[in-house]
Amino acid sequence: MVWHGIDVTTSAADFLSLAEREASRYGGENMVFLRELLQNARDAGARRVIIETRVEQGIEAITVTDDGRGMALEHAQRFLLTLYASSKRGNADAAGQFGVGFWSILRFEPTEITLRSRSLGAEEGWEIVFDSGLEVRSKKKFRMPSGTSVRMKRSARAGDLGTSVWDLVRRDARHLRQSAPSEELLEVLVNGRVATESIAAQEPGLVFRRTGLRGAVSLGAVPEVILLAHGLRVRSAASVDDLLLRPDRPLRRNSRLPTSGLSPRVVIDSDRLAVLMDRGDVAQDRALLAVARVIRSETRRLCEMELERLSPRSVWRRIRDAVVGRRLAIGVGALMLAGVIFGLWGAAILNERQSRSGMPGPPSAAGGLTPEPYVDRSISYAGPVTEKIEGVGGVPDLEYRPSDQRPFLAAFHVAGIDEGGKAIRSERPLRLAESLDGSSASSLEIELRFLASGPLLRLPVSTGHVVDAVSVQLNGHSAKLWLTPDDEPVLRLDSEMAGRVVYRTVERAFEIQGGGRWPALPPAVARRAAGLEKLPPAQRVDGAIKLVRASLGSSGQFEDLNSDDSLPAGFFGLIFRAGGGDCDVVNTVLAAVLSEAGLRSRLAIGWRGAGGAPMPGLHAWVEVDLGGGRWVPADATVAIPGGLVAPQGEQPVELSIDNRPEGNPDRSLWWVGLLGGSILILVVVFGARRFKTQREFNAPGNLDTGPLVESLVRDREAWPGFTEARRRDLVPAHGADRQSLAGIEDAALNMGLFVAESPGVWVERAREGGAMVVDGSTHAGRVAASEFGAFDLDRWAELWQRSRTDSLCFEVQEALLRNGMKLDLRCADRVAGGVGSGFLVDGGATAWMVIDDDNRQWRLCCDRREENRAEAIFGAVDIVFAVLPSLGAPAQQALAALARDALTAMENRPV
Amino acid sequence: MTETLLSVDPDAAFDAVAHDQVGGPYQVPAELVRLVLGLGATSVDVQCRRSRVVVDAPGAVLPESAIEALRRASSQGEDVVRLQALAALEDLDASALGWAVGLRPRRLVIRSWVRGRATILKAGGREAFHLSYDEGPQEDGVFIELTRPKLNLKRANRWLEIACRFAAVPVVVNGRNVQRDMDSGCFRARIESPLPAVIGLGVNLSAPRLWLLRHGVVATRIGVPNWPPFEAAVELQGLVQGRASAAQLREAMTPYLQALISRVVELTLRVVPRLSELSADHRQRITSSLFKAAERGLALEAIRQSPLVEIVDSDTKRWVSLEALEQWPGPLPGVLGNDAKPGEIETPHMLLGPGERERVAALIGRTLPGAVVRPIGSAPGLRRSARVVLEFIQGLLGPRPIPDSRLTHEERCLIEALEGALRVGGRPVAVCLCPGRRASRMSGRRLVLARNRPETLAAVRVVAESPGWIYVVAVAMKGPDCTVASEIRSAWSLRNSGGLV
Repeated sequence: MVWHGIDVTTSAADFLSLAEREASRYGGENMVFLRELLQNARDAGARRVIIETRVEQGIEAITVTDDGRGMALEHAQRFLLTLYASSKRGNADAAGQFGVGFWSILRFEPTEITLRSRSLGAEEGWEIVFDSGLEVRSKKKFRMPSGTSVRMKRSARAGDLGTSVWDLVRRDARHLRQSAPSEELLEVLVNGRVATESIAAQEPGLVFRRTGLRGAVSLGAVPEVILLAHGLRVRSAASVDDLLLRPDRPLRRNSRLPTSGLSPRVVIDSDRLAVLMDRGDVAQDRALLAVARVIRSETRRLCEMELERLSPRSVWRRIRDAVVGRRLAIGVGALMLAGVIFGLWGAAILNERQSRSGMPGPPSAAGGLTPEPYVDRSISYAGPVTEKIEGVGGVPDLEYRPSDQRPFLAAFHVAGIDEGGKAIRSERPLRLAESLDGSSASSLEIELRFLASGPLLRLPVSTGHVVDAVSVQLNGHSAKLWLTPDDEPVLRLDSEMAGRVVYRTVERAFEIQGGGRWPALPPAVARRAAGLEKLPPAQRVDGAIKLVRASLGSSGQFEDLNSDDSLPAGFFGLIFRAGGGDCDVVNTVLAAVLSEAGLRSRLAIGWRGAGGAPMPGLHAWVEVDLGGGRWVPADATVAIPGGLVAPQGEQPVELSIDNRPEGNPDRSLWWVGLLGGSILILVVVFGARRFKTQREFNAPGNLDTGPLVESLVRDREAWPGFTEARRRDLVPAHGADRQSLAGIEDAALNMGLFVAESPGVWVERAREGGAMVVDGSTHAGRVAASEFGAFDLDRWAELWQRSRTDSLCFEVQEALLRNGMKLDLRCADRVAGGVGSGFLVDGGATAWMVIDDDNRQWRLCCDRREENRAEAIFGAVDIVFAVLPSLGAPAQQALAALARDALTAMENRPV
Repeated sequence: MTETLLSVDPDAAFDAVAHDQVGGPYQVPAELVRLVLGLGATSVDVQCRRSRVVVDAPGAVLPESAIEALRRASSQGEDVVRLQALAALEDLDASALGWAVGLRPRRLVIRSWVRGRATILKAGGREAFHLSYDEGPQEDGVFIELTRPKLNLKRANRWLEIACRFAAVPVVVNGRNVQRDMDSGCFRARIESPLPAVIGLGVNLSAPRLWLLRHGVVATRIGVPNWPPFEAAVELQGLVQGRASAAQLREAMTPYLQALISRVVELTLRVVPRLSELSADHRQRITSSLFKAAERGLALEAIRQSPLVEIVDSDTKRWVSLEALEQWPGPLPGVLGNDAKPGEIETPHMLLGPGERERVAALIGRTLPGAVVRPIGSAPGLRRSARVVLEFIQGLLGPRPIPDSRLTHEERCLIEALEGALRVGGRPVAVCLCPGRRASRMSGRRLVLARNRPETLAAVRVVAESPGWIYVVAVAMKGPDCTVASEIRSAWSLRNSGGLV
């Protein structure tokens, strides 16, 4: 056969030699070829594989038939019949890829091999028959359904072939799945019996599934991890650590898992494991590490779930655990939330506190600039045509209260401009301002430090407000307030001076005397401005702002503006030709439009207030009279397309004509976005973790805690969350709810732990004495009793039943009773340990005991009683102490007193 | 019919051999170390840097047949010849060389010195090997240089550290010896039967962990649940074929597991006489390991007779066997965790670790009672402090002790006997006689007896006549915090009571 220019055909003998050599890599299992054939069937897209065995006339045969895609003869020659060649190499979904697995059929030692296949869509299939030396015995076309069939024959051997096949399929391919995208169970029939089944967990167990991974973990007697790749068994191990050749991680205590009592039994199937050529191992790569992590995490989860099932936590406990377990996430979330809250309201709160404490204006309002003494800049402002005003970016030393208001603080006004864009000043004399009558809903207390270079000092006043003349205090003294011809509040000063003025402005309707002279607007604009006159005043202002933005924004709505002929000469012509300007320019146009629309207006220049102080940078806006002297601010400079920007240091501010200050929408949106984003991240992170893996918890119907308790007791170091587990109520007890191991241990340390199979009088006595009696009829109770050395009340009851009293017992009882201890003492023969048995309750105040009357010491005491009573009683009580060393202080005192009696008796005995 | 439809893809064969028998190219340096260790290297120096791996192994001797097979395995040979050469390498247990060739290195140099004669094979890319010879005073050894990009040397270094940690000779990787001892705080032993292995028992294991080696390099690992824990590095080279896979090694190990575990139990039993010299952790590991072995029926009689349970009585400690516990007369001593402080408990008690109590109880067939937790100084703190202060003041105000020279012989005997009998907090108590008739009292760690009190007079006389009565005297006169040594009680009750017997 010539392939790629190279003759790679080889003799059947050479091929056989190499193929047998490869087949020997698969270990000692001769039926291993079944796994390889099933793997090929899976990779060929089979949904069902039928395996039939037959023994006839000393010949046993096995036939493996699948309903997969089959293969053309050319494909078979290129791959199946070419050793090491594989059409599946590099195909991540394929289970096989080495090009040698098929030839493990030689492990069967066949005398005849028959290959049949028909590829999907082909009219007919083909059949090749090889002999034992792999010489081609026959080759022909063959009619069959699509799929592949392999039939082998050999002389019959000892043992049942069908059973061997069944066992191997159950061991290696029990959970074999179809290839992607179906991934349903691949049905394998062995002599008519279905051998495959889905991965399931014994109870209690957890079946889990996530991308590329599926498996089950259950808690049983023997730990085992069975590793599957594409549904085929690769290897098994005692624990997940044995899968890894990394000595460091498994040695960490927290990576250990229980190995006795309740041990994890894991079956896990991964599509990503890299199976080595010998089929018995996988590469030590990330996929294996990921599998190990999943095994550990799912086992821990199962342990937690089982614990929760057997001993559910209280609601409060769950909340506490949730908080503790997720404290990092909660901490991060709280920090983010705090950040959001501070971003939204923190600055305002801080400013309020600062204003109450009389501190200077907040840095946020001042933008970090140092406030400068206020200077009246009206003289230097010639009008909107002026390109720059000195000190435009600074912030005056002004404070106002209440600081939560955001007033428009007008330093001076322009009531009209000429055609050249210069401000028109009125020449009328100043007039004295009058004090205000009545009350107002809104007022501002303003404190201003100024530096006056001339005789007049205009006072900043909030738009819509007037200054209360009687409130003005100049350097601590009352001062007269004057009004300019344009109705601006002004102080007359004698000379250049610096000082401090405090005054109050009040929201009040007022009329101004002059102003309202604006250059002519372009006809198209003027026409539309005039058209606004029929609207109510508030809507008229909105319309005017839109009109200014539209006309200066070159949006194309005013085609006639594009013609220079339609533009007026002078300042407005320049502005409309340029398509925009600074805030004073734009708002001058707005004032003109409002005037054209029938509303009195004037240009105001000053600062926007925030947090009790002005924001940096002079700004211009329009004050418009909505009727009846109700003046409100209007501003057309916000978000104007075409290059108009807000003044330096100030964010563009959208003004509402009803003078209600709004929050900064962009800033708020930013914070809202951050909040939403944070929540989204948390949902994604935790949600993904929670829902990435699908799980099904299978638990037995009973609540037998025995295996769990046994595991906790025997393998406490390896148990995940042992500290938590020992606090759970798991051990049944008489006359009470189930008890925790921690509680049982405490009871044992205090000599108050008993065990009994059924309730009875002794159980009641023990319980009345404050003891704990675990239920010995349960596995958990027996394990806990054995581990913590519980006193067996059943055996005790039997002993007590056959016990009797004698006179020495009475005397001992009386002796102890005189010392405040109540002991019910009896005698019996054949007491375990040969001395006695007994128990006490109530911290040693009450005790029951049976003494072995065959005990030599006891017998001596009985014998000596007549001769020396004191010695005998002391000896008997000493035996009681030996049996119950935990007797309390009264008994110790009694013993000491009896010892003294014995000494005295010894002293007084006749010599 | 003579038609053959069968063929071999040699290129794919090499790919399979180089990539699919090992976890990846990063494992090839460790396999080269395995090779030279198998060839008798006395030490191995590995340089693994910059896409280049150099293995220098003095003492290793590469057979001529391996060099010849490697030469034939070069890519210029015919397919069948190459595959036969590959098979020959595997048969010579030199698969690592085939894997190195399969990596298609940019440069591969193999230099083998035998008795002053060097055989040098050089190849680059897909070129055939160039064979040359050299002579010189060089000692026997093998030098392998492999240059290949994307070898993932970081991972290769890590893998070398993992795989070569139990090597019998020094393996130095980038200047650092990677031999590491196993977790063997309790003991470490080298055995030859049932298999050559190094065995260690540490404190961190819960079940046997076996590292299966070939030529001293780790091939795989198995754990054996529910048996006494230990760690072992088992050399399997003599047991399996050279080309055995990790799975086959595990399979080969299985029949020897029981014998190996039994051997470990036997070794562990040898440590028992030294138990008292070991730390609490190590002691507990050994005892729990033996209890577990006994539970599984391993060396049951030997374990039952070994003193494995520590019993603490005041300041004395002794070790008793399970058999002794089984036949213990009277109630068994209470059980306390072996992390308890000595002297904290008043009565005799046995120390058992977590999980041991239930096993011991099952092995001896008796329930183990809890220890009597009666800390020394059981009185509440304030009361106890007040009493100490009071005793101190009484000591200052009370009569002075009578000098030893003015005591009678009998009185000195009583004092000596009482000092030997009484303990406070596990430590002896000083006893003195004072003039007067007041009741006996404690002053700090001193028991003060009034010389003329009738009890004292009686005690002096009784002890002089019957020394065994010191127990009764001690009980009568001891302070509330005092305990009487258990051997004193035994001496009275069993042998020399005088009054009773």
